[in-house]
Amino acid sequence: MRIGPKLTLSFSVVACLVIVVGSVGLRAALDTKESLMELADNSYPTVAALEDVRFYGLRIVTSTMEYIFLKSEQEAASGAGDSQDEAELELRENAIEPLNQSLDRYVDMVATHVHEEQNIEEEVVNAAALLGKGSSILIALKEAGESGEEILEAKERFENTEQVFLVAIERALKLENEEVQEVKNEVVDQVDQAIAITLGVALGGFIVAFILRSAMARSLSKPIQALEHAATAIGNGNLATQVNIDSKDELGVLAGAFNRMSRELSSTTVSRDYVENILKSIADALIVCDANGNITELNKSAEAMLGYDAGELIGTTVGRIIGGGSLAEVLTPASPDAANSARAETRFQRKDGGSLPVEVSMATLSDIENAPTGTVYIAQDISERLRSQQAIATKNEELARTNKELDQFAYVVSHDLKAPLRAISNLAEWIEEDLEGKIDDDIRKQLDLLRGRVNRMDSLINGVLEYSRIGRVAIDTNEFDVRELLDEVVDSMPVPEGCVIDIGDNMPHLSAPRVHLSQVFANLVSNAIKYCGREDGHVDISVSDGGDSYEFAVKDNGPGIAPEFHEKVFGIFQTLEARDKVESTGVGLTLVKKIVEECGGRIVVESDGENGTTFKFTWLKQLTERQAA
Amino acid sequence: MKDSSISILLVEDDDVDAMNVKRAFKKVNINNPLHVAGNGIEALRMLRGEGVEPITPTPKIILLDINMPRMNGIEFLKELRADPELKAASVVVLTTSNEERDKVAAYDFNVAGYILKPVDPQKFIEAVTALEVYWNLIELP
Repeated sequence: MRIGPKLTLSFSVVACLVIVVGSVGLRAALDTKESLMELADNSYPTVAALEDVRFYGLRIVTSTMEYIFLKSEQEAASGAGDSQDEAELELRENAIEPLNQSLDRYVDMVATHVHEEQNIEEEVVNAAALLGKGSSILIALKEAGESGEEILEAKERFENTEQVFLVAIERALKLENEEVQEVKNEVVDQVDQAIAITLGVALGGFIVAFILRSAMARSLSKPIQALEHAATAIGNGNLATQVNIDSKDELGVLAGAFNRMSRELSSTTVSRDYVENILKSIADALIVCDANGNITELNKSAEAMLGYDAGELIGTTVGRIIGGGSLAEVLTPASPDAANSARAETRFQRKDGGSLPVEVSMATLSDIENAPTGTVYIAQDISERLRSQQAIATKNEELARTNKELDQFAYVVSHDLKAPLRAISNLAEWIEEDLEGKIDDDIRKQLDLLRGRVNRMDSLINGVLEYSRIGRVAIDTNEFDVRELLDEVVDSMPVPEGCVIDIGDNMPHLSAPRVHLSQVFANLVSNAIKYCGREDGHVDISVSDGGDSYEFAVKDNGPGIAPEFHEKVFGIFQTLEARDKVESTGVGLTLVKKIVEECGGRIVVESDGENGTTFKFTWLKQLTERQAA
Repeated sequence: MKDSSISILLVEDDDVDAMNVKRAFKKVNINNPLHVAGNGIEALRMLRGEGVEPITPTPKIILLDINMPRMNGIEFLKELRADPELKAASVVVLTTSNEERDKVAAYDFNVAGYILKPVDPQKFIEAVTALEVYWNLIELP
């Protein structure tokens, strides 16, 4: 049942009760009125009629008696006072008519209400008739001048009649009084009854209203209380709270809507507790400020990093703890398209006076109309990172210094090795010169071998010197045409007859350390010629555009390099042929690799070990600052 | 050399290198007096006659090594060019140092030439021959 009809029903019941109570009271009032009306209409006129009957009866008696008395006096005084007895008779005559009228009224009134003794009115009427008759007899006797005795006798009888009459009147009056008393009792009874019924009905109504109230309380209050509890639970963060109301009324509908709302809330919204737990648990400091830059919230990590309690900071300006008030100057936008966020490396001012290096990300909060409502700062302790960066920088410096020292060492060692080597060479020469004509062919051959090995060692040392020079000695960057450079390189080396060197038509124009690229090509081309091993040698130099770099290739038709040696060929002092067969230092490709990599490129060798070899290397179109330096 | 009275000072710490120069001079018939100093300080003393007999006549040609103990060739050049008595000397650097900064420093002090010592003795003979031709060609003060 819905609440509207329920309320209507309840109020209808109460209204009926009120009507019942009212009608009972009304009924009692009407009854009382009726009784009182009866009293007014019947008893009082009856009594009045009786009083009139008595009055006129007694007048007849009195006037009769007065006439008798006066007549007797007159007789004694011989005819005097005629007029007086005449008057008394007239008085008597005048009373007869009203007496009869009163009697008629009495009889009429008595007829309207039933007496227990039905004969009382007859008794009164008879007594009155007897009274009239007795009076007439007495007067007739007197006028007839009868003797005193007869008169006395008649007078006596008349007085008896009078007594009977008065008794009858008294009885009738008494009956009427009883009647009045009866009506009075009736009214009192009716009023008492009405009070009792009214009270009873009112009490009953109260009980019914109380029962209704309880029923309403059950059907209205309980669901409302359940809803209130659920709303409180949601307010406390338990978003999944459901209420269990089965009723079909509006509250049931409301509960259904409430449950849907809480389901939606729990699936689309996270509670404040949930968020606070997350914020508490994150290791980064989180500080929230209002639009004026005053701190409104901060998490445990922020307290720990700053050494303050939250209470000491809330309400104070954020500049007190971040960046010494100049945060805006150090902030840089987090990304070009994120105008409302920024990041900076700055320091937290701690309570103990110290400071802590942090990386701060800042985001502006705004309301629906895009007006700023506050700022969120997330700060990460970067002291460890700075230490690591410092350590890495130190290590890098050490490494660079070590590398430089190594290059320097290689240079000094090889330079110093050269002096005794030259001395050995010279001394061998001088021995041969000084023993001219005294040495046989064996000794001469041995001296030749000695000089040959000295020369090889000189070449090795020169290789190391050159190797150490790359990266140790800055080479100027020039603008040049690669085609011209290749022509120079080819011209400067002995090309055997029958060997063809093809240079691609699309060689680029470069801005680079020319000497380095020249060394690379010289080594690769001379290797191609040196290890060709056939009469119709063919070296093909080509280039392709690889975006930000060029890819150069030097391809020969020689015997190739087996894949297992592809890495090895770049190692220093590594040769694939015995040095006695092909004079080689084993430094050339090492040098090439070092130059290419110093200039930001890569070099690879491609060969199946049978059909020629291709060395491919990339060369940046634009050298970065480091590589240019 | 056509004027065999011109004395030559060789500043060289390596005995074999000094010998090499002497043998080369002999081979190409340079008979001018050749004095040898072991380092820059010794060379200056010999030129100025500090504690030793000064070389007479004062050498107009100096063959100078760069890497030497106590005072190297560049430091010696600095002192030499600062000395009004000596600054006119023609200096040829004869060294193993292929360092660019050594070459630049040497030419900054107006050296007549910068020659890298070859390992092959034959090549050194060629170099000394060329020097002899040069010295015959030029006029010295």
